[in-house]
Parts: sequence; structure tokens; C-alpha cells
Amino acid sequence: MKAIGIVTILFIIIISGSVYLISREKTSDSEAGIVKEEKKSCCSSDMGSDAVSDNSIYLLESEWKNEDGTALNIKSLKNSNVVLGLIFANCSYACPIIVNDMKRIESSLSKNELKETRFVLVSIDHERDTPEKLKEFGSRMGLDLKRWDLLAGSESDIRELAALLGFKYKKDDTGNYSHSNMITLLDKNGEIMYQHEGLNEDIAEVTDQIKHLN
Amino acid sequence: MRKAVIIFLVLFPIYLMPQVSADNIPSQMVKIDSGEYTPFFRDENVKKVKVSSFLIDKYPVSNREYFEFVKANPEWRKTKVKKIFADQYYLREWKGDLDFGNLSADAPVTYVSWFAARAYSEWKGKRLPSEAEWEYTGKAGIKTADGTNEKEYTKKILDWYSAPSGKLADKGKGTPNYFGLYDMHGLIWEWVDDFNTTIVTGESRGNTGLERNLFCGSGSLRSIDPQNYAAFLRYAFRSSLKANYTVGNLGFRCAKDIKINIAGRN
Repeated sequence: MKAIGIVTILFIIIISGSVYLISREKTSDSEAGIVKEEKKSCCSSDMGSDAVSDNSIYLLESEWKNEDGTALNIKSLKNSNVVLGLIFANCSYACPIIVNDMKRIESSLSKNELKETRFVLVSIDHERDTPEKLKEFGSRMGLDLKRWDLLAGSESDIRELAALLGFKYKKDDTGNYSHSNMITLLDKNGEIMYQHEGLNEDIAEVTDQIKHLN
Repeated sequence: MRKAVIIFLVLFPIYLMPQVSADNIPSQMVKIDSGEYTPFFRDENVKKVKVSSFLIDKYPVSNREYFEFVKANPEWRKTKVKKIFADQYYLREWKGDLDFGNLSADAPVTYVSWFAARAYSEWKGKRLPSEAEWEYTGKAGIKTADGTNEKEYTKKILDWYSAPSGKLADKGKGTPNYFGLYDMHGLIWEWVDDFNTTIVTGESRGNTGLERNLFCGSGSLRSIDPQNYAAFLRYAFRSSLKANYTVGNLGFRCAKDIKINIAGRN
């Protein structure tokens, strides 16, 4: 008799549990919509230094990891001029040249300009480029990691950022990528000021633009 | 009596349990088994592209469905959308934020950007199909998985590509293809998630682009049969797009990964 009582209670718990789970599933669609609305109103009502313009790439708000494995929201680059390149660490030809072009930009800037500027390399290889691997790539390329960020992100966030910048890439059968060769300059608000295409070309235009931003 | 109650208590939760099954396909989607296909171009080394099994919508997303999305997500309404995510033609034929005007509710939604199509898919718990997934299913004829040999079918696609587009018809009016998908051709063009993979020659200075074959030389010359020519047009069209572009005959449908789906109900 006692056993039956316990069994009954047990089943009541199971029933309420499953009813709860199912009702949660059913509303998940509409909840998703509501959550998005709330998220939006939270941010657009916040007119402080967090506000971004309609043309800012910081509308993305995606989360990345830097070369130390520390989480970094792309928005945290706001308030610096950003020189940004997309690369992958296993790249043997074009990417080292892109990084080198960015280093040439770095060395052409004055101390004050450098203070206002960050250099960001975003990996397009979400499978192989861990923060450790990017750190190793950074030191191999002789980068001053106080001034450079090497970012690893999800496949989807990489695709989104690339789409926004007009950067094209495709993985081939060997796991390497063919890709655009492009350096993007963002102002402190995250708006695209200039895009430099090609490899090992004159970087004077980028440097000039940065000087105008300061 | 007590026995009956216990039996009820034992069975009822089982009835409520969502089904755990990989084959539990949402009603408006079709399961596509894994396979491989030969893209019409690519360099010599790449013969086949593998596609894992996935789910894909039977129909393109309609105005009515998109209306529900903008109702729930004000930031995607016509007057609210950020320009960086959708250009000035976004939902051009809609009369207002929550009014699709004279458009048919069941016609595919167009003038939507890649960002918008992606946001809609995410809201639905889905995603956009990849280019490989789209081409794999879009290559099908009416009777066969590879429509290359269905001359009539291919001709229809090409006729459509060259015909001026008028007011869009409702989705699902034509004949489904081999996989049971409607309107893969003949009504609209569709966004794919990785539309930004095709590098045109002019951009790939520095020898990093493999896609030079697409526009100059061997690639396009090799693709002389009409089915390939149709695919060529799609690649060329995609390569001309930017993620915030909105175009009058460009819409989308969603896809989804196949997982053991504990949610089970859609």
C-alpha cells in the first residue's frame, strides 16, 4: 500500500515534468521573438557610449576569442581605429603577405596614431585555428600582441563578418582556403572607411586615411 | 480502480513524451539523404562535392510567413531595418511595416537581404542551405536526382532565366522535383548561406582564387551543356551579390541539420 503511494507520487512528478518540458518547447518559437525584442530595446535605449550608427559593423555584436583564449565581443574594438585582415594560419602564400602589409601600415604610423589604432586578424579557419595556434602564428609573424588581436570565432560569425566586409572565401579539398586579399580600415565607430585590395601594394592610402581619423 | 489509476499514471507520461527520432521530419520540410554531385565547374582536382543528409523546406518562404517574422522582430520591419543589413529596396513592394499590400500572401517574399534571410531562419530554428546543398537538390529533374538528362526540364529553366519577370505567382503551384521540392526553378532565385564564396577573377589578384575557371577559359568552355549553363548563371548571379542587397526576384527557403531531435514537434 505504502509502495503504491510512493509510486503514485513518483508518476505525478514525471507527469508534471513532461508537461512543463512540452509547454516550454511549444512556446520556444514565440519566446525567441520576444527575447530578441527585449535585447533590442535594451540596447537601443542605451544611448551612452555604447550606441552605434546604422553603418557600424558593431551592430553585429558577435563573440570571439583572442589569442589568449579570452572572450572578446567585437564591439569592444569600438573607440579605436581598426586595421582588419582576414587570414588563416596554415596559409602559406597570401596571408603572410597580408599580415606583412598590415605591419608596414603599423610601422608607418606615429606613436600617437598607434595609440589610437588596433590591428586585428580574424581567422576564417574555424576548424584548425584555435587561440593557441593563432598565438603561435602571431609570434611567428613577429607581431606585437599588445597592439594586435588574433580572433577565432564560430563558422557562422565568421561568415557574417566576411559578408559584411564583402570578403569572399571558400575552403578547398585540402582544407585550405581561397580568399579575397583585403585589408579593411574601420573608424572608431566601426564604419568602413577604406578597403585595400591586393597583395604587397602601396599602402600609402590606408596610412593617409588613418592620419585623417586622428 | 487503484490499478486503473496506476496504469494511467504509467502510460500517460509515455504518451506525453516527445518522440526521439531522427526521422521525425517537420511537415513542410523534406529529408535529403547524403550524396555527392559533380559541380559544373571547379578545378580539375575537384570532381565531386559531398553533401551530408539534411532537411530543406518544400517551399520558399512566403509573404505571410515573413510577415509573422517582422511582427515578432520589429528590428526587421521595413522602416526599422539597419541599412548595413538591408539596402534601401528592402521589402520594396510592401506598403508598410506590417502590410504587404497587393502582394499575394502565398507568393514568395522577395527584396530580402542575406542578413534578413538568415535572421528569419534563425528565428525558425533553422538555417539557410549551403550552396552545395542548394545545388545538389536544385540539380534534380522531375523524375531523376540528376536532371541533366531531362532535356525538357533544363530548357524550361533556361527559358525562365531569360524571361522578364512579372508579378510573382504563389508558391507550390508547379510540379515538385525529384526530391519533392517546389519552385527550385521558375519562380525566384534563392539565397544560400555561403553565397560569398565565388571569387571573380578581377578580385583574386595574387593567385589565391581558384575560381578564375568560372569566368575565363577552361571552366566556362567546358560547361557547354545547357544544365551546366543554368548552374553557371546561378554562380555568376551569386557572385554579383552583397549581403545587404535586396532584389526583386531573390528570396529564400530554409534548411536544417538532422539531429536526434528531442523537441520532436514542429
